Amino acid sequence: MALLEIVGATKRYGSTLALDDLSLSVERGELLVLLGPSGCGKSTLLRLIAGLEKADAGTVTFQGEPLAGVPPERRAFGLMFQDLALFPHLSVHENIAFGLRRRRLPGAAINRRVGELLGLVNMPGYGARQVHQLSGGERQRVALARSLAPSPRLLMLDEPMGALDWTLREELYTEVRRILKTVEVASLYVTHDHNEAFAVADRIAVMQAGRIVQSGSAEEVLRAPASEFIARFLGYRNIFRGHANAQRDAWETEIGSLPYPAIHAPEAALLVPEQAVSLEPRGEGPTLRVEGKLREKVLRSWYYRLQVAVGRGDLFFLAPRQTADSLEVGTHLTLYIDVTAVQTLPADDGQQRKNRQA
Amino acid sequence: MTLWAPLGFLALFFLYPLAAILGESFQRAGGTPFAPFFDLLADPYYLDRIGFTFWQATLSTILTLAVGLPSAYAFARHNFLAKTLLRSLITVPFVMPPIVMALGFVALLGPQGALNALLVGLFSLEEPPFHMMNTLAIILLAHVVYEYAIVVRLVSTFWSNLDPRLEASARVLGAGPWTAFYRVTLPLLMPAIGAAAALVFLFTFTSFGVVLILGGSSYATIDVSIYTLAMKLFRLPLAAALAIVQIALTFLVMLVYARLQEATATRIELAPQAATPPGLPRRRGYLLLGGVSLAVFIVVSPLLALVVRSLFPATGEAGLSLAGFSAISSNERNAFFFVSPLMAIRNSLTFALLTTLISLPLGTAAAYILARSRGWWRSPVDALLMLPLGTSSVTLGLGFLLGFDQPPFDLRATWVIIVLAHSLVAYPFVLRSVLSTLRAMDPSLREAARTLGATPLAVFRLVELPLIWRGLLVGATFAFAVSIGEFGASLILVRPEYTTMPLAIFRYLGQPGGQNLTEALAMTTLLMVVTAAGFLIIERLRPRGTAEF
Repeated sequence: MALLEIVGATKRYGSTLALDDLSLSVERGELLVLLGPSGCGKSTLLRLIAGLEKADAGTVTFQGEPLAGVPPERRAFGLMFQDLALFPHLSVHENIAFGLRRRRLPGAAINRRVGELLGLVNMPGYGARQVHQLSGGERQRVALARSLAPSPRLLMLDEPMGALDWTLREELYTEVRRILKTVEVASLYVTHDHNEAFAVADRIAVMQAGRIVQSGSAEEVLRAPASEFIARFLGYRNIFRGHANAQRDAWETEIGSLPYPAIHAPEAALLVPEQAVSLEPRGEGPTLRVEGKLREKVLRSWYYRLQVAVGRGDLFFLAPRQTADSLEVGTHLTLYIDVTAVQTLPADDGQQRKNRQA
Repeated sequence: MTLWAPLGFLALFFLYPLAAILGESFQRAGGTPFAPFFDLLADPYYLDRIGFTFWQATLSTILTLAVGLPSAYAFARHNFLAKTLLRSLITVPFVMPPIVMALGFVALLGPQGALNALLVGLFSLEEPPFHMMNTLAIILLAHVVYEYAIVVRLVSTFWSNLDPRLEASARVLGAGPWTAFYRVTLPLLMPAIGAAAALVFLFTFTSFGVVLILGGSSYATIDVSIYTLAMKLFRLPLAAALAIVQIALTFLVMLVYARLQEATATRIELAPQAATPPGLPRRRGYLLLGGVSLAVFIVVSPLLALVVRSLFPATGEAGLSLAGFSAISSNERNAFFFVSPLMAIRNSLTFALLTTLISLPLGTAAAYILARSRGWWRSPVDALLMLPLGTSSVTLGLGFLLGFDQPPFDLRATWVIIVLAHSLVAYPFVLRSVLSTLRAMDPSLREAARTLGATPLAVFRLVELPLIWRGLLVGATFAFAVSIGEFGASLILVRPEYTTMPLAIFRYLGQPGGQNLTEALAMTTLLMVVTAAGFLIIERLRPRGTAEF
């Protein structure tokens, strides 16, 4: 039995459907990341689990016990807010002790636990500080310590890095993962940043328009995105609409005819992974040669990201510096595509067909 | 549910009196329904009053904007000497009761006022050179002095929150300073200017005490006419019909104000914290400081004159005299009064205390309803809760007079009716100050506390109360100050034995003789000091960045 089980959750705000018959489960000790664009219903789902919203339909059960009607303060779940919601009138110590005092623990036990938490988040000795004296990263750690202090049965984190700048984010989310794994708490972590999701998650559930549209490990999701939408959301850029051409046994796309993969539908989205494109042929396996013109090149440390106009479309791929240094924009190029790596995805405007390519 | 208590209170003590006014105005006489309205429309005098009320409110608004906007610019965009002090000073007149402001102008520009006395003394004149009493000019002047603070504070707060980089961007894109202001800053300021204008219009449209005392019979506004009709001519149906017209018109203005205010609220949220305003080049700096200081001096001069004239009376021997103060503190029964001045002071303090005790929980509960309300009933409930703010106190007094004159609600002979009326006038101020602190509070704090195991009651005690207590205290002080200075409703409702300070002042004024004027000024100074003390508390406690009015 899963620790947390959500079945058929539906929530409507006026005419917008925030959660659409959504089902999801979280296992004991698991760190599940909910990944989706803003407005897809992630925060609503967390608020529903926390008891801050009521579902229009569906059930939430924890260890087999239904949670309907249980007020948030009786659920013993932790929720870390995007804006952190630290109490501005309380010190760091009192913020962390807030949930412990609600449990009526003796003073000594509270002090001990607060000290423990401050150590865990690498901020020993910060107890007497006021919230406004803390930096962004410090606030984020205090908020994490506060939600972990009462040992919640489940911890939810709503875009916990939302308020931080990029460099700080990368440093902190690996640490958040370390801390969550240390205390072995089952966690539901919400983000819209796929890099953050890959770094943090045991398992990823991709959310779109109030539904879970794919779930699996980071590798699984990245290797085989279930739809054009998910692929784009994960950062894939070489996605082309393909029309099946039965005579030539190939897909007609903006960048020309692709003979692979085999035709199985009149229409599909074709995903060409960037690593399948190169400037030199790569030995064994069927390779497709295409001609194009270099449109743009952007230097990124040890490689270039090239954008090449092929047919009516553009192909993006990476090339090592030594190969691409001398290339000038406008140069005519020959590209090699490893066609075995090309996948078809159900086109977004088509029905949700289950035709994931192996 | 306890949160519904304010709605019940408003229904009984606000809607019911309004209904009583409506009933009175719909009376049929000689077989004609709505007879009072026909009487009103048939009488050019009252049509003139309505027209004059519009006219003076429009003129007052334009003049206040013209005087206030340059000061708003100075406060928003520049640092200068004693800025905080000047900013506090300009607000002092605004928080004064109308009776204090009116008496301030009597003390400054009246026949025995400071200005005339000074000129008579300097040039050995036979008689006072200035004849300002009972003119349109003195009414407009009093309104500008009174409402100046609204324009300056509303607009400058909004202006200083506007990102100065917007204007800088316009300059970089090739706009001259004037074009940048006209094309970028002014359009962004319009909601604030509009809200300030609507508020000034609303206040001057319902101006009562100032016009009654300074305007004489030839410059009566709608409110003054309602008072005269009801209390002097005893033509209650006609007074009620005029009150209905007044309510309809003020609600219209309120609606405009609410729209504009919403716009300023959202805009301010979006604006980033402004950079520190730059200092000024020396010459322009002195010019600016001089201009602002002059404006502030003019605005506080009536109050200064009030203090001066109450300490240096025109009658008797020249020099400092506390005759006025000793007269009002002696407990002997004066022929003009049913109660002694000391009793009036005691009455005022008692009513103010009771008013605070009623309007504080009422306003707080209403603020909670407004902050939390969602759904279709939100707009009507919001409107009901805010309506008393737009109803003139004279109309409110009339409603109480008509509504509570027979069993089971025969309250006319009791002091309860005074406290209830004051509470209705004061409660919107509590509502606004508590609401602004509630809205400034991050809603996720409440939710965070809930998920950490706090019950709703614990959330209120441990999180909300520590964060809104300043708002509560500001609201309480407001309620106290509003009650102690309340004039319009009191004039209609208060029986002689419950006379309050503003009413005592008014009665002094109605009597001839220099000694009466001196005593009136002394009493007014006392009222001013109490109000100013309340205002100081409010300024100290007001949380940063919350709504100004």
